[in-house]
Amino acid sequence: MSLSTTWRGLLLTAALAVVWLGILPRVATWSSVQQRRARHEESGINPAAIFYSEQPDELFDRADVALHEHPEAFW
Amino acid sequence: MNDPAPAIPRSRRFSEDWLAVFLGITVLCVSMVSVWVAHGDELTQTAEQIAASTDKSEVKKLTKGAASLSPLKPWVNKPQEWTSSPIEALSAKGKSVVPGIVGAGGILLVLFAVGIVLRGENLQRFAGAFVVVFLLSVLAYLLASQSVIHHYNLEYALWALLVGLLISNIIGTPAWLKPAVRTEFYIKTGLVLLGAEVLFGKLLALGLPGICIAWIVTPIVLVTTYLFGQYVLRIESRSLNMVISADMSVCGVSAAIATAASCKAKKEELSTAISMSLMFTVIMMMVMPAVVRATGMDPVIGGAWMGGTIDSTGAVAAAGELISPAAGDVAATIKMIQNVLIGVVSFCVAVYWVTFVERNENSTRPGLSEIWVRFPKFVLGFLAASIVCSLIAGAATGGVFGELFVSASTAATKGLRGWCFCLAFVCIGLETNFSELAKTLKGGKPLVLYVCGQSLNLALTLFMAWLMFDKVFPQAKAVLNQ
Repeated sequence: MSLSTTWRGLLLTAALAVVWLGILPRVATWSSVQQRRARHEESGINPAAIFYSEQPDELFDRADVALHEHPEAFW
Repeated sequence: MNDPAPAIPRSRRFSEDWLAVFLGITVLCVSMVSVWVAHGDELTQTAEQIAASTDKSEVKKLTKGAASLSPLKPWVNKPQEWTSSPIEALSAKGKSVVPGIVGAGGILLVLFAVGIVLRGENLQRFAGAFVVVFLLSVLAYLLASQSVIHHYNLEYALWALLVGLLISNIIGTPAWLKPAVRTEFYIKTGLVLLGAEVLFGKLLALGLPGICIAWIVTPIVLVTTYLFGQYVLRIESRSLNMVISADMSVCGVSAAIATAASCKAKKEELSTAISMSLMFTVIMMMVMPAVVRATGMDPVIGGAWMGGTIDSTGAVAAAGELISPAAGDVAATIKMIQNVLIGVVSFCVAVYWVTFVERNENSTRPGLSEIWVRFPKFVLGFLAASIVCSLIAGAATGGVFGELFVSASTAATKGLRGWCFCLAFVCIGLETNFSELAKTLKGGKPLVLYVCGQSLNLALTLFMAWLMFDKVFPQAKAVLNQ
């Protein structure tokens, strides 16, 4: 590994560390971010889900209950 | 990189597609058998209790408990959400997730090593390189699970891609890592595992309004956007056009992965489509709730509108919750119905590609045998897993036992599926250079395609949501708003 590659690797690591260990933890203390986080936690939402199976079943309860109790309203 | 002389003649090697099917189905079978042997009786009793119970909270509790009855689940985990120190990511509710991360790496190493041996390739070189690629995937998950990133829906796919891209473009991908850079293999195996989560029964989750919003508008938007890209924008690459059209109209990253594999898109095309989708997801999850509130739109219509248009599944629920719990639930349910469409889209795209796009210039239409040879076989594994799990979930003991069984069986496999996709995106990054990525954005046409397609999607979905919930099924709207 050449010196320049080593330096580039170190600079890259440092840049990632500054953003993820320095900037983002500070951003996480902003009230808007904390409110968003609290809202997601309260409703059990996984905001990073890429498929419905990664979400809690509770999210689909409303439709399930409505469809079973009032099927005539949906068909 | 040249492999040493293969022990198995090339003609007798297993194709990557069939291997992905074999490995994916094996994992699903092992998971199902382990659930059946270890917790079959418990699941039967729980299903009976649920069927007899009238207490909704008890049913919920029993369902949740049964879904986690997978003996493999403790051995498959990923880094958890953290805020100030990545060390926080290594435990959940006071329990270490390190065994789960190491376990997932170990299971996947064994799984793909079997594939490498069956293909007659060098196992030792693969194993060493795989450990490093897996560690890069752990890094990508760590970057994605920082709480700000996590709650603003910047999914692991983006960070996995970035980790790979930074290494390949700034440091250079070392040659010894390349034996484990197996993008298609990881994606196809992950897709077969994903098939078990595509349950066709979910299609009926919101009755006819749900079907009309998610299964009528979405294919119209997909086909129209693709044709617009071909005949108006004249995008050079059909596969880039298709992947953008599918990820914008169906469900973001998962649809992009499935379609890209079906139409054999280039890696940088998938990267471009996913990057654009995630960028617009972040914008739409902020702007759309504001528009719904500002216009005084009904929460059910607003939720259905967002569910049908915002690409990412996680962002849909998050955006809906900003309006009301009803909007969030309707949005998530519409997106779930749309998610199920990816099996059909993936199959149709694969058939269209081998029949119309890949045909020789001289021939009018390929014969059935030629279609079969060209057809991406992993799609069959994906569909088989989906059909079998849909039948199990819908059939046994009035559906209760079957649903619990499928839920418990996929509890661990969905974790492995996530790791497969994460590995694939790290590999895409490791194989791509910035100039190739820039080429796919040539002339800004992909961006124009996305914006035009999404505009049509927004207009048609809003119209259908209004038509369904305001004119045709107003009672459904009233019931959902309760």
